[in-house]
Amino acid sequence: MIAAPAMLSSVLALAQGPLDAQAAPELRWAGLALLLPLVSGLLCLLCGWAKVRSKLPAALTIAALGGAFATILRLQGVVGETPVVINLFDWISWTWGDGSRFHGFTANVDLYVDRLTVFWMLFVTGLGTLIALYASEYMESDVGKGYTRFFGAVSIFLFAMGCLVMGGNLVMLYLGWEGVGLASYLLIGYYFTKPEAVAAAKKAFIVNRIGDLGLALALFLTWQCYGTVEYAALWKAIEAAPASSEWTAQAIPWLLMLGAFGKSAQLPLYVWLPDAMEGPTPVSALIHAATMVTAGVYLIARMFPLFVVNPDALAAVAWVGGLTALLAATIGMAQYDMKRIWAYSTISQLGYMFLGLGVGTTFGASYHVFTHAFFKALLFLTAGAVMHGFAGQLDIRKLSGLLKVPGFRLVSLLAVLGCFWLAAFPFTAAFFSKDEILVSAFTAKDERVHVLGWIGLVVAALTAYYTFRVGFRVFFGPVKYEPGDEHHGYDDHDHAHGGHDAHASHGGHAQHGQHAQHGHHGHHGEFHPHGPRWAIRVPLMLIAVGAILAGWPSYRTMLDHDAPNWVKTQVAQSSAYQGAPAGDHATHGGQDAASHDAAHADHADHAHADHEHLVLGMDAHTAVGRLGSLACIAGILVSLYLHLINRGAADALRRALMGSIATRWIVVGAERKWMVDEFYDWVIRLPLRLVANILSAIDELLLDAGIVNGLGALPAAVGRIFRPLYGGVVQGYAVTMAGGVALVAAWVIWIWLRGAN
Amino acid sequence: MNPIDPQLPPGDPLVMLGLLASAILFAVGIVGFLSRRNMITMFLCTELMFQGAGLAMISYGRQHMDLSGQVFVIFILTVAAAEAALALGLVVLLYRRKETLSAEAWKELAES
Amino acid sequence: MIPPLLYAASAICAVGLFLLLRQPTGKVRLGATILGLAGLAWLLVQGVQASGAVGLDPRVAIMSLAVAMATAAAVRVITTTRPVFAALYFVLVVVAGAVAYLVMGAEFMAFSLIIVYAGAILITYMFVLMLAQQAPDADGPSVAYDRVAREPAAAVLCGFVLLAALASVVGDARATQQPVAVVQARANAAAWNRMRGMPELVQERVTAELAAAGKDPMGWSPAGGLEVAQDGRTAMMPVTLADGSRHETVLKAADLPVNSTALGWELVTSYPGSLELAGVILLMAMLGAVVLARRQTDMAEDDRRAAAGLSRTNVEDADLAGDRA
Repeated sequence: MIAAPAMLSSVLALAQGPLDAQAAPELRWAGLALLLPLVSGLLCLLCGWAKVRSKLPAALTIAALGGAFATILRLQGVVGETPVVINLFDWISWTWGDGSRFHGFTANVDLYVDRLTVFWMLFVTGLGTLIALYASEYMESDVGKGYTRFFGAVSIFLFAMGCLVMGGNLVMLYLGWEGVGLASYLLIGYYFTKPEAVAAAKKAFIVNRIGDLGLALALFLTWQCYGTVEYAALWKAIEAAPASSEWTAQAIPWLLMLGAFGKSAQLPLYVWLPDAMEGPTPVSALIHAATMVTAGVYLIARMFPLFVVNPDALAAVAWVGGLTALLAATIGMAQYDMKRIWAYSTISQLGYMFLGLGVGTTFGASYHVFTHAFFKALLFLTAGAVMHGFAGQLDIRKLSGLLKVPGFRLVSLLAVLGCFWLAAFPFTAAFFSKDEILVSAFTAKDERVHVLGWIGLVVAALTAYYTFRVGFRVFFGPVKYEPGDEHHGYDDHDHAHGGHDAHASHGGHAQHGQHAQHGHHGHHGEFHPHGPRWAIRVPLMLIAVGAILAGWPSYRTMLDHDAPNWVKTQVAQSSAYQGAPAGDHATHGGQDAASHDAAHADHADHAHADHEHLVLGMDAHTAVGRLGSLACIAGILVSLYLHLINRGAADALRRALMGSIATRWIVVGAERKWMVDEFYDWVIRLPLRLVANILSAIDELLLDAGIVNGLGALPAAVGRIFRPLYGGVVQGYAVTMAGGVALVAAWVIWIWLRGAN
Repeated sequence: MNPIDPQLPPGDPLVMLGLLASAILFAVGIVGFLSRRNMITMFLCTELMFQGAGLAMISYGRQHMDLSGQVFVIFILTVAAAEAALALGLVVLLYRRKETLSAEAWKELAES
Repeated sequence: MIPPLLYAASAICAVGLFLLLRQPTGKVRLGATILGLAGLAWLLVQGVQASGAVGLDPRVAIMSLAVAMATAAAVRVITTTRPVFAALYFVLVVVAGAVAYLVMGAEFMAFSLIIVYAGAILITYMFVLMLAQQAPDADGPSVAYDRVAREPAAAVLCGFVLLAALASVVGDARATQQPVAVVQARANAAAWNRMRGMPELVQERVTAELAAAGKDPMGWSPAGGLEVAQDGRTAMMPVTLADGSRHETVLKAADLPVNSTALGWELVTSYPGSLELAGVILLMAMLGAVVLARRQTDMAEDDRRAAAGLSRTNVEDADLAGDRA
C-alpha cells in the first residue's frame, strides 16, 4: 500500500514530478483567505478602540473566517494537479552581482497553492469558523470585557496560520509561524490576571522560541545551500542536486525538525501544550485541532523533499514521534483533568503523525492530522461545554453520568462519539489514518524503525484506555456532579445564568424548566448546570458530521479498490508527493507519462516490499488492521471494567500499585508527568537561574555599585569637598577666584622662571 | 622723584622692599577678604589690596625711573574712592534689609 | 634671590598668619606673632640681599621699618574682630605706605594717599561703621558671626600661593632690568624734554643760574632751545644777555621740575583721556552712591508705572500684591 522502501529511489525517478509551479495571476482572489482574517482582526482592533459592548467582534470574525473557508472551497475546485504561485504583491527582491542563483534574495508575498495547501486550509478555516461560532457563545460572559480581544486574537491566529500554510516561501512561512506563536501567547494568556495563565502563555512562547530558532537557522541554511527560499525554485534546486553531503545541507532537516517539534509539541519541547489549557477552551480547540500544532506536521510535509535526502533525520523524526506518543499516552492515563487528558492525547496523536512522517508517509500523517482535527475539536468543544455548564468543573472524579443530565445529552453523545474516534475504533476515520501510519512503520525500508510499529500498537491500546476512562467516568454511570469553583473563567454565575434565562425565551431549548428541577442534584443547593444553546450545539454537530465524513475517503477506497483516496490525491499532488506515491489504489489522470511510469515502478517495488515485511505472518496491512482493532477493543474493555462497571477497582488497582515499591514509580511517575517539567527545571532553569544570579550579582556589585555608582560617587565626593564654597556666601566664590588666580599666576611664573634659566 | 639720582645701585633695595611689601599687602588682603564675614572688614581688605597695587606701581615706577607709575596710583586712588563710595552705599542698603553686616545673611542669592 | 628660600619664608609667614587668624591667646599668640615677623624679616632680608646692596643705607632702614609696620598693621586689620579697630589699623597701613612712597621719591603721591585714604575714604568707612554697627553681644565686644575667621586654611593657602608667585617676580626683577645707563639716559631725556614744555620754569631757572654765575639776571632773552649735554646730567641754554653778549647757561639736575610739577605735567600731557575718564567714574560713583543709599520702597509693577506717569496695565503682580496690602 505504501511505498516507503521505494521512496528514496523514487526521488530520482520522479524527478520532474508535479512540481513545476505556474504563475496564476487570475487566482489573486485566493488572497482573500488571508485578507479576511486580517481585516476582521483589524476591525476587532477598531471595536476595541471604540469600546464595542456587543457580540459584533464575534460576528465579524465568524463572517471573515467563513469567507476564508468559502474562498478555500472555491480554490479547491480550481486548483489542478499543477501547483500555482499567486503573487499578491512584491515584497523583498534583492539582487546583486549578475542576479543569478545565490546572487539574490526574493521573498514576495506569494501564495503557493497546491493540493496540500488547499487540503490543509480546508480544515484550518472550516474548523476555525466553527470554533469561532462556538466561542461566540462560550465567551459571552466576557462581552464588553475581553470579548473583542479574544476574537481579535482568533483572527490573527487564523491569519497567521493562513500565512504559514499558503505562503509561497519560507519567509512567509516563518512570519506565519511567529504570528501563530504570538496569537497563541495572546490567547493562552487571555485571563492575564490569573498567574497560571500568564505562566502558561510565557511557557508556550518561550518553548516555541527554541523551536523557532531551529526554523530560522534552517531558513538561513536553505538559502545558503540552495540559493532560494521560494518553494517553486527550491524544489527545482533540490531536484538538481538532491543529496548534498555538505553539513549545511545535512543540517537543514534537523533544524526544521526542531522547529516542528516546538510548534507541534513533541519531545523534548512538548511541555508547553498541557499548560496551554489555561486559555479558554475554544482556544484549546483551536490550538489542538486547527491551527497551531498541525503547523509542525505541515512544515515537514511541505519540506519533505529536504527530508527524503536525509534518512537519519527521518528516522529521528519517527523515533521522536513514537516516543512522544508513548510518553504522552502514559501521562494521559493518570491525569484527572479532562482538558489535560485531551491535551496529552493531542501530544500522543501528534506523535503518531510524526511517526508517520518519519517512516515516510506524508499521506498517513496528513490524513491523521485531518481526522484528528475533527475529533479533537469535538472533544475539546464538548469538554468546554461541560466546563461551561458546570462552572469550570473538569475533574473526571467529580463528574459522572452527564448523559442523563438534561441539556447535556447531545453534548455527551458527541463526546462519546469523539472518544470512539480518538480511540481509533475500527472503521472510524482515525482507525484508517492510524492504520496508514502503523503499516508504514512496519514496512519501512529502514528496519530500525520497525519497532516503532509495535510501540504504536501499544499506544493505541493505551489511547483507547484513557479515552474511555474519561468517556465512561464522565458521561456514563450514575448522575453525580460538583460544580467547579471558578465560574468559567471570570464569569460570575448569576450573570451567566441571567443571560441564559434571557435566551431561553427565544425558545431555543426547553431545558430551563428542567434545570430548576434537576439542578438540585448538585451538592450546591444553588447550582444549576445549564446546557449549551445553538451557537455551541450547531458547531458541535457540524464537527461531529465532519469527523464521521473524514473517514469517507477510506470508506470509498474500501468499497471500490480502484477509487482514489481523496486525501492521498491531495498529498500526492504536492511537494510531499514522495510520501504518498500515487501507485496504490489509483493513478491520477493528470499525471504525465513519466510520472505514470515511475508510479508503476513504484508499485512494483512496493508490492515486493510488502511481501518482504510480513507482520506475524500476515500482510502488513491486514495484520495492522487486526492488531489495531484488537488493541483498541482491549483498551476499551479494560476501561469499561475499571471505570464503569466497577469503579472501585481502579482505585484498588492504584492502591495496589502504590503499595509495592517496585511498581510505585509507575503511578507516581505517570501522575506527576514523569517529572519532565521538574527535570527541565533542574537541568535548564536552575543552572540558568544560577548563572543569572551570578551575573546579576556581578552586575549589582561590580558594575552598578563599583563602576557606575563609584564613578557617580567620585564627583559627589569631590563635590562634598567643594560644596561649602558654593553655599551662597561670597567668600566661597572668592576662594575659587583667588585660588584660580593664584594657580594661574604660579603656573605662568613657573614657566617663565624655567624659561629664564 | 628725580631721575638723576646716582646714589643707589641699579638693583635698588628700595624697589625690592616695595615690591615685597606690595605682594605681602595684597596677599594679606586676599586672606582677610576670604576669611572675614563682616562686609565692612571685607571691603577694608579690598582696600588693603589696593594699597598693595599702589605700592607696586610706585616701586616699578622707581625701577624704571618713570612717572607713569605714580600717575597710575592716581587712577588707583580714583577707582578706590569710587569703589568705596559704591560699596559702602551697598553695605548700608544691605544692612537696612537684614539688620546685620554678615555676608552669610545673603546666602539665598546662591544659584541653587 | 633663590626661589626655594623665598618660598620657605612665605610658608613661615603663612603659618604665622594662619595661627593668628584663629584668634589665639597667650603664648600661642606670641609665638605666632614672632613666627610671622621672623618670616617677614627673612623675606625682607632676602629682598635686600637680592638687590646687591652693601652697607646700610638709612633710606633702606626706613623703608624696611615702614614695610614691617604696614605688614603688621595689615595683619591686625584682618585679625581684629572689631571693625572699628580694623579701620584704624588700616589708617596705620596707609601711613606706613605713605612713608614708603616718600622714601621712594613719590612725595606727591605720599601726601595724596594720606589725604585721600586716611582723610576721605577711611572717614567714609567710619561713617558707615557708625551707621551700620550692630550692638555687640553680651559675651564680647564683637558680633558672633565674625568672632573667628572662617576657612583660614583655604584663605591662607590662596593668599600665600599668590605671595610666593609675586615674590618670585620680585626676585626676578633685577635679572630683567634693563642696563642702568639706558634707563637713566631715557629718564634724563624725558625729564629735560618735560622741562622744555615749561618755558616759565626754564626762564626762572636760567635767571637763577645767571644770578649764581654773577651775570645780569635781568633783560636776557633766549638765543636758542635747550640742549641736553652728552651725559644727560646737564643741559645748556644759550641766552642773549641784556648787554647783547651771548652766554651759555648750564642747567643742573637740581633745576629740573619737582615731583608734583612733573607729575601734573605728565598727567595732563600723557594721560588726558584717562584723566577725563577718572572724572566720569567718580561722578558715576557719586550718582550710584546716591541712588543706592536712598531709602528704597518695594512697589508693584503697576504702581511703578503709575509713579512714572504711565498708564496702568491690568496685570496683577501677585508676588508684590501682598507687600502692598
